[in-house]
Amino acid sequence: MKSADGGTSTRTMTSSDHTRPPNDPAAHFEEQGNPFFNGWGTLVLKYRWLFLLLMISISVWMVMQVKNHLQVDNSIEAFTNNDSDTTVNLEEVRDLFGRDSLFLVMVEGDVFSRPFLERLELLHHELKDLNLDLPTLGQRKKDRDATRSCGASLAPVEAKTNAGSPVSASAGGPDSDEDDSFFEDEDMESEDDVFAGEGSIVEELSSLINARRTWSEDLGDDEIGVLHVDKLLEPLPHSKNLATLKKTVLASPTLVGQVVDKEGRFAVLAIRTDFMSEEDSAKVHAAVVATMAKYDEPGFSFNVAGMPALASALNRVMLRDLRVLLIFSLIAQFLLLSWLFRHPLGVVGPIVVVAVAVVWSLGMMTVFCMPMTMLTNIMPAFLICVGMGDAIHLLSVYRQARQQGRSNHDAIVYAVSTTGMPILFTTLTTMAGLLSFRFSTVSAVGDMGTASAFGVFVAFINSLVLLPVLLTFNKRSLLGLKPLADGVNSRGRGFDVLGRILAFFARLSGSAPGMPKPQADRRRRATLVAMVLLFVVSALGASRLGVWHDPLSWISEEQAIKRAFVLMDEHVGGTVSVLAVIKAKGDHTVKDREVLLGMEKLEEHVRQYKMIDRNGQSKPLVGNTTSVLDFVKETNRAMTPESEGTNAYRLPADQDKVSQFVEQFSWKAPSQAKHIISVDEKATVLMLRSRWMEATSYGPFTRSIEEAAKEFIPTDKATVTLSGSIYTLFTTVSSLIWNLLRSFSIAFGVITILMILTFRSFKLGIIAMVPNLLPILCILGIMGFAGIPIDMANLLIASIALGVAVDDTIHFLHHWRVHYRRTSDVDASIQYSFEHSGRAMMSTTMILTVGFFVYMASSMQHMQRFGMLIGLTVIFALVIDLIMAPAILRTLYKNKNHDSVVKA
Amino acid sequence: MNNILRATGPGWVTSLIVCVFPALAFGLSPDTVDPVLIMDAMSERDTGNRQTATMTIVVEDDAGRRRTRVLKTRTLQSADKSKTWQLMRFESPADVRGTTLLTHDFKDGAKQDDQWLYLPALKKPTRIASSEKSGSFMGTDLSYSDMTNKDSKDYTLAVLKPSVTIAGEVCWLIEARPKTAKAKEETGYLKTKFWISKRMLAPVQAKMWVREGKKLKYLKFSGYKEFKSDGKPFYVATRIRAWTKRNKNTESTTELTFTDLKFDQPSVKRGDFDPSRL
Repeated sequence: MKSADGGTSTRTMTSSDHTRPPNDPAAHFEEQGNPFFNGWGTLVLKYRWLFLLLMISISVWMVMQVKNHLQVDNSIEAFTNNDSDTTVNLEEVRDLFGRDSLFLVMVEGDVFSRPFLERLELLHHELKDLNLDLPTLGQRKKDRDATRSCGASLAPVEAKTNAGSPVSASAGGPDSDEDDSFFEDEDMESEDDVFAGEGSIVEELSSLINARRTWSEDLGDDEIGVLHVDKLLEPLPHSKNLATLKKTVLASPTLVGQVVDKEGRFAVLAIRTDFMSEEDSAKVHAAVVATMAKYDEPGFSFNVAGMPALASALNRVMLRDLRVLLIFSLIAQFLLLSWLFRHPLGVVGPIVVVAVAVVWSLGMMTVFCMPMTMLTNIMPAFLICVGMGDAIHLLSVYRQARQQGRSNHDAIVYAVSTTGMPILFTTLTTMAGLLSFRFSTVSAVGDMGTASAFGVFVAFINSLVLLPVLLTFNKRSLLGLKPLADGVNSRGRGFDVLGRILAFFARLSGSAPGMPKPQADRRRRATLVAMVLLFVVSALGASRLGVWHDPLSWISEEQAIKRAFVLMDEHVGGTVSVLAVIKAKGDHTVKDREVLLGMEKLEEHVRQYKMIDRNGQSKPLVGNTTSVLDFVKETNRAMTPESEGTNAYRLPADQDKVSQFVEQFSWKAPSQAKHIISVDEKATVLMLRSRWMEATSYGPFTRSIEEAAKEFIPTDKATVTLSGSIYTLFTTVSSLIWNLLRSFSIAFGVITILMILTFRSFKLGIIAMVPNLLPILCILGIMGFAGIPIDMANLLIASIALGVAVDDTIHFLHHWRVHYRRTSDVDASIQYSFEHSGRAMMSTTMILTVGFFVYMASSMQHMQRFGMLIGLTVIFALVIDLIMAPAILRTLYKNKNHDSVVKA
Repeated sequence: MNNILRATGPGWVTSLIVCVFPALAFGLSPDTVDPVLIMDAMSERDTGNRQTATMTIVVEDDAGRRRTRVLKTRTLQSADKSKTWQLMRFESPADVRGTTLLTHDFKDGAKQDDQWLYLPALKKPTRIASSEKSGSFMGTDLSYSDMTNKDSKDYTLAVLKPSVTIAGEVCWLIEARPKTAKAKEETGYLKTKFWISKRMLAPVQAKMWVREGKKLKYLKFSGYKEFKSDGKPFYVATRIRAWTKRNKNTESTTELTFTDLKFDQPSVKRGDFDPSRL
């Protein structure tokens, strides 16, 4: 090979720039610091106490904000888009029928035995009296959002709607003209002492104990019959009557699958409460479990399921894991930093930088009314890993400068001036990756992006402020490096571990100094072929990627909530509800017999729908249905004389009967009716108690319902829309995937532009994106081959990984470009880049990898996957940067004379 | 039991709306601070009889959706005042027109009230056997219990304020807490506050703490009209508004409006309240 200066046929670089032979272009090269950052470093050191005081003051203020005002919203609803049709529908359904998610308690035993029923009765009453202090009772997501949109999170949650009027006009309360003179006594509106220690948070509790029974005594033609509307088990039947009771109950289509299984082994108590925050819901869950535990004994064992219970259990496990893993992650990184820098400042410095970044990010979220969500829960750990990179790059340059004999002051300024620009670029690109989430229509995703981007920026600022200030306290330490002996790197041939790994990579890509050109070219070509192969194989794997979302699969089989869901799905027909909302058109009402007949057919249709369960068996997806039809049929049976036959559990044949029976619904079962039929009788809901499936599997089911609805419900009289928590989850996941795909595309585009601007070269900018994209493609390929789905937990991986992967590329290419502009030697520039940023890249990769791999110790599967996948991405990003980037550079750039190269 | 337009033997809440005599007519001093005396005076007062009225019920949810029902009512009280008969017949909407609810209410609280339902589509009456009292009355914000006679012995009563002015009416503010299991079960309330007009011996407003779901229920009585019975005035509220709230959100509102309110109507006869004639 001919070197740029027309030198020898062998490549000119030596094993280390520290040995710097006279003929090595790299040896004569000393990177000039950026003038701005040079000045910045000098300024910070001059006023170090002022800067330190400023940073501490801001941090303390942020801590106070977080401590007192940070809002937490761990609900799945936090991921819904307030403006989406699904959310609008869900809110309307909630306006109409209240909360659709129930706590489901399943008790196993000999249900139709006297001891079991006696115990069940006691339990029923105790649960019905459940009394907790829940500050958010009655609040919905829109209420919480309304509080947030005030622009000041400091406003108390209670200060929300209906203020100023005892009853809102929209709620149909008293007219304002009378209200003014009416509530003159403050006691009427004062709620300060409301329910202090009294009352029950349970709105409705359904079980065998209060199962309604409507029956009649037909006393003949001359006498008036008697209609009984009472409780099936009031009083509890005598033991000798239990066999009859069992037969009656197990023959009831409204009771089996709702309050009892079809064999009489399980009894279910469905607890309906008003809306509340996830935190309060968790309190209810804990209280229900604690109550159940008092009754737990052989022959009366319990499980608690239902969407609120699942959300509560998931949150509990996730938050516990996050706390523990955050500590583990910090310990691991502490150890790694200790090993890398061998000095307290080398450990404390980066940790302080990221800790401050975390605190400021949380503070920013608090100030701008952004709640902590399931997504932002992971942000502190993310920032700790990502934010450390800046500090490590700075420390690496600093210690080398110290090793080369610079004074502490000069070494700090030099480190700031030479690393300032690349870490600014890496910060900008990482921020671009994160800010791409702002384009999501889901505010929680956007908030996470903003807060994390802010955190990354704070880490950058603090790497250039706090870290230099802290380094001024260093007296003599070289932070893990040994002093140069007689001008020769004491490591000499004995590279340190990182050096050996770097040398290995250099040899692999044909970039090793001294390697004969033919061998180097062979390696280069082999590397390029390997890269293409990797690209193809990864793309193949990525094409096999599945999209599904199953939060239940995240938790282990041993968790009680998982057991409860499996048992309830297996025996009692389902744990979740899909709601088919029927809305009458024009002057019609849902009392219209044709509409109700259509509902009946729809009900029959969904009961026939089959799913494949965990054991591969085909089973009905819907275990039970609840609708106004139940009451109408029940009333018809009770009101129909026996002489007219026994098959009276059906919709009456004439409209008047139907209308008058429906009217009776709100008279005889008002607490149930208000959750099933709207006040104006223009809407009703068909509740489908369904078995649990991963979210996207509900897609075919809901499409089937929609098609059947078009067939059965007269379109001129009514429409059918689907809703409910599980439906919302399904649609949310689907829309999130497209949302984040868009975010990733935007991030990719923006980062490409940033790369071009950073390197001031279109060609280099585009080249840079290859080692950025390939690691992500590799990960997607692995996911595809390993059968890991894209779900809500790992949707963010691609965008986050892009932001992280870019860092290595920027550091590598920045130093390569700086050197190449001066020396015009591709190989020497690669070697310089290896030497100048290689170790720092290795160090940050180790930190990031360990930080993320710690999550593999999580008890939740999705956290394990998240940690593993991001950790692997980081490793791939480094390997690809160190092997493939040199090969690409050597292919696309040639050694030139100085004049032409300057323009590169 | 659920005798909404009962003329005598009223419960503490809704029945008070209908017919009340001035407190002074009972020899009750406006300075009285004995809550039992006040509540019993209301329960025992004389009221009109042979009453007819048109009642409009409007129920509205928090999104403004409405259901309107118009009913004709007639009420009769036995001579010894131990029984009240009440008939409510739906006039509209058309599909439930003719639906009739007949109630025989006994002053003796220990005795179960009788109730019959006539559905035109079935063309025959049916007796309803149900003991549920704390449930909603016809899907409104009022409960059957709100219309049921109360025994002051079942409650812990206290005058919270001996004199407070509400809507121009000087009132007693009285708190009633159920103390027996029966009262707790029947009302479903943890406590109730009544603002009772001293001039009319009638409630101006009431506030209930609903045990289940920790909700608050409010009642407002207005449109009082003066009638005379044996030359003595009594007052009738022609408008009741009830609404249920939680956390400052109104969940639903009910408005009962009485028109064509007449007393001592000769057309109101005992035979009208015979179940077989429904």
